[in-house]
Amino acid sequence: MPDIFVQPGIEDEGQLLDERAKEGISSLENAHEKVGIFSAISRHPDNFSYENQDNDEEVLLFLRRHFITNLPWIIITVLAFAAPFLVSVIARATGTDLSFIPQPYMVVFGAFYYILIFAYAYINFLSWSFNISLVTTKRIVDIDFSEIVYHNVAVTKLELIEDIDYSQVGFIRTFFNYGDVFMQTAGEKPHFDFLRVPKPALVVDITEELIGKRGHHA
Amino acid sequence: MLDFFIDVLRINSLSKILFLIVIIVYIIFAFVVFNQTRVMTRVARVSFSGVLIILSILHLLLAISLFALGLVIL
Repeated sequence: MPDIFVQPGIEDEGQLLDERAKEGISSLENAHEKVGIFSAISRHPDNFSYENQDNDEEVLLFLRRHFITNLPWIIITVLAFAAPFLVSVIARATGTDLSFIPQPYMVVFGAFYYILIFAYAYINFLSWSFNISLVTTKRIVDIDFSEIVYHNVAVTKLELIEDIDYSQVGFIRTFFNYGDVFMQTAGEKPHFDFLRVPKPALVVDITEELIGKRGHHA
Repeated sequence: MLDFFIDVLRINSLSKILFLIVIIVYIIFAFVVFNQTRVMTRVARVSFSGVLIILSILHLLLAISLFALGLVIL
């Protein structure tokens, strides 16, 4: 049966996507933002790379959860740090005598208590710092380090992304401008979720710029 | 109740052994944290990876020092 229509000039969908990715890069080429210790979003970072990154692959968008999501554990850390002082003040105010606890035990238990607080804060910071979502010129990467011993890296090609949208619900999220970005893919993992990331509308815009025009040629 | 608690504290050898066992378990945990920090900084290379590894080593050394402190002064 003869062909009814053959779209001219489009031989390789991957090549087309690469050209669109280059257009996406051009819009970010002036945005070489560095990834700082407290950065939650960074466009085209030049001081970050990941383990399986290709030589010709560039990270266009670096995302973490918005820093405000760390507030609960920061507050707990500060309160825990101040708790022994509060206990001693309360004990003195109520006339309670704590001298029944031997001094060596107070020193050792106190040191252990503060080491635990340090570990709690450190692990929470690590968990925030290394749960990273990336949009590169070739792929979407979701690096997940939960509970310190759980490690998962999910990767999908840009051309497998079928749909992308975001949600921003509630006053806190609207005020601090962070939300959830959802990507539907045709790959083995059906969806990629970037949860509580800053500027979700920008994330969707940048990702759509990389993949969106492909739909017009499909 | 308070007298019982004081008597327990005065059983130095038992409480010391219990405390040291807890610290040994914590040292193992600190080593796991150090190892996982190394894995994390290998997967995602950020500019402050060195600082994080130093902090994890410091954490491990603090746990070991606490064990030594408990051994000496309890």
